[in-house]
Amino acid sequence: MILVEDTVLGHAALYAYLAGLTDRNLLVEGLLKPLAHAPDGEPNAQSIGATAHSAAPCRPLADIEEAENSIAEGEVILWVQDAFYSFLLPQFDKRTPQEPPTSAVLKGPREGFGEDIGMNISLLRRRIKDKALIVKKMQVGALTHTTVAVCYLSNVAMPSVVQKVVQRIQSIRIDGVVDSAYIGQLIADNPYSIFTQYSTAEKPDIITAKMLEGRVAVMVDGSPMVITVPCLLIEGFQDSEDYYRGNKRTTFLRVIRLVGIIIAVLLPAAYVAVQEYHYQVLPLKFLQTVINATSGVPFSPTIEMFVVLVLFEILNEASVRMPKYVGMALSIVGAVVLGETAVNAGLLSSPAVLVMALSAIGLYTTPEHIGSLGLLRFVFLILAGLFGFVGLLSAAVVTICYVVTLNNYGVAYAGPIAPFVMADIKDSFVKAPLDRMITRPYSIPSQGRTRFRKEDEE
Amino acid sequence: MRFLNAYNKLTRAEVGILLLLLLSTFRICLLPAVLSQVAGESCVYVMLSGLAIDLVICVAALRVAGMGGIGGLRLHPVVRRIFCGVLAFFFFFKVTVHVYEAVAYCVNDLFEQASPLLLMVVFVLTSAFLAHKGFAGIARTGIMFMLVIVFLAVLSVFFAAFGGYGYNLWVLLRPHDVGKGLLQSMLWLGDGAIFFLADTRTSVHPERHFRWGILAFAVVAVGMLFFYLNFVFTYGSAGQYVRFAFVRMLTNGDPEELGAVDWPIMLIWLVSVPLAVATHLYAGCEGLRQCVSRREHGGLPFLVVGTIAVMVAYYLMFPNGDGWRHLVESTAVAYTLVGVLGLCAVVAIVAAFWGRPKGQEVRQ
Repeated sequence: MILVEDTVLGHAALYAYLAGLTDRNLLVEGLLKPLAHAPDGEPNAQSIGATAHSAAPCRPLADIEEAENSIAEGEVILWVQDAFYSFLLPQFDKRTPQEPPTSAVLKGPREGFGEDIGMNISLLRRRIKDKALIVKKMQVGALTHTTVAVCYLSNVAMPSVVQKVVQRIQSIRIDGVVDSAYIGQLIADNPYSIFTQYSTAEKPDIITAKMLEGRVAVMVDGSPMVITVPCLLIEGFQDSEDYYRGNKRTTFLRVIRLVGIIIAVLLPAAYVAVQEYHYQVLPLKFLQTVINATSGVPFSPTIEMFVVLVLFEILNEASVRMPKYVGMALSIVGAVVLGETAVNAGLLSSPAVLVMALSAIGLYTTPEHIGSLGLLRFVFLILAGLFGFVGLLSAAVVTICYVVTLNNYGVAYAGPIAPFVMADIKDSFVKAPLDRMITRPYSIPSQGRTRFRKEDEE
Repeated sequence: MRFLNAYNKLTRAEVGILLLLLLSTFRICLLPAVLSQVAGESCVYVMLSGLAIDLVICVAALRVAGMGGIGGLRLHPVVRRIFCGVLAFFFFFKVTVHVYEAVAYCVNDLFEQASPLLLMVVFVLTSAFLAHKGFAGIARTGIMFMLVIVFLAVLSVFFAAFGGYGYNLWVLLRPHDVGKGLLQSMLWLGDGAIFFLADTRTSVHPERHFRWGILAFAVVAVGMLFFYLNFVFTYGSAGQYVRFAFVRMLTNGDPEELGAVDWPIMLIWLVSVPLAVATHLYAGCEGLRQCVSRREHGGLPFLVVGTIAVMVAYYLMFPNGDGWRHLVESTAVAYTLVGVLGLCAVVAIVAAFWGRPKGQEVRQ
């Protein structure tokens, strides 16, 4: 903390502030100099405010405790004649908007949110230039005093949902919030669920689109990730670029993502079930190939697949944690050296490695659900190893039943598929042309259903 | 805790899905096997007769469900309790029978190395989890799988068109011994009675989706019917005269081996088993709750008791398979005819004349 003794309107005074959080030029030119050189007078909020630079608004403080909190928040405190005044002269190193690494696109806007909540709100306001955009700010965290902003469109979002979000955030009692994920987890309906209860996005165009459908966005100071609720399972299969390209291509890609997920979750388990119990499913020639490839492997198919999947998870975790270039080297070591050597040594079979590779690739078609589906495939694998197709399908039924009965903010998580809402199928696993998107989705509660109206051509 | 009575609320589409699941799952695989011993080729007609009886029960049950379920009727409490108790016992009995048959099918045809008791535990626990989510949860899960079933039905039609499968359908035009075996199959009837315990006064945007819903339902129904007939011919008594119809349909090759289409259909059947069993298990628990308890909420103990009862019944009857079958085909007939069908008729009459419809509710 920096302490500066000086005079203010002819009276001895003390300035206090934290280095690195205050614009030093503005402090000297806008505050210290004008107040020191001003003629003598009675120091109060009005006279100090009139003398200081307009960029440094003056706020009187009640007591020393409030002054301490203001210093901690990065403000400059002036102590003169036993009274405290604060000035906000912020200087933060902040990132300029740039393309976020999690949402790189070929077509479409490239700017992304940063860590400064003010900048993030301004990015949102640049896209929604209407008074309907409401930003409610509040502070969460007893020690961090983190600013959290709830953003919504007052004529689109359902008031009950907004109220529920605001109430849940206000009821949070925590020492600190360091990322929006904290808020996301604390306001979730089902905190024990392995499925994501909130969506995250790093780009203002995605958040704008979601708010236009009636969702509520929550921004947290210091986090580039903005969360939106209510959340649907199907959001994981949608990408911002889907809306910037043709609907046929988009539909095709969404089906491909679905197939990718099915392969990712079911293929390892199905491979094990077939090999352990139901080999008669395979055509004879295919079966011969599998038997030739797996003969000599010392593990049972279940153990073998389990080992392969665990190895993949270890490699994945290591390559994500490592610096970029080391991570690339690690990937090569994992893919080529380990995989190739293990197959040549006869410890693993090539079909198992192939199945694992296909499963891993399929998993990354929907990054939003990697966490939950990555766990599920282990559960499916174990049950398939124990009970064959019966175990695998029982696990699938239970999982689907769990998903279709999951609710968040009164919204069915598996909508619009279950419950089936025909009107919303236009933007689910298929995508209709934009001029057919006449109404907002029924699966998300909102006011004013119509979002598109074509004027008659003259 | 919202449980049981909170989850018996169904939309029209969900009623349809449940109905399709119930009417197809065990008739497809199990009833033909039973009937094949007594009815031969005419088993299809026996099943259609059963279907007609079930539809009558179903119409009455849906009328009651439209009033909010059995609780919405002006019945004397004792009568209501007797009715719910009979239904509960009937559904628990059906659950045990279905689990027994499903396990037997898996062990005999699909999963020879498996322990029947372990498979029973898997089936019952899976069904109990689904039952915990109520009619609505089961129906929504069914919707997900219906999409796959329709896809497979379309695939079957495609193969049928190029495989000369139409020949097998001529069996339908050569009836004899119509009606034989109907009495022995009575236990497999009465599925529609589950709707006595449902509440169909709820709806999700009915005015917006009705027409599309009807269309989708029709597509699913046609797909299911085709699928149903295929399976009857393949795994029912049809096995005696059209062995492995799907193989012929596909390749016209060796009828002693399973074909490529058979496996996906067997897998889909394995999915529909827990759904159908769970529907009965939930109905049994809800019946038991309404019979025993006056409380509106709370039903987990009934589910636990019901699940354990099914497991114990299976364990006790498992060693004596033939005796079990005999029990099902004899005692159950009288019980089903007199108990369930009679009571269903009484309640339907009461509903028609003295029911008190409640106001519409909208579920969000």
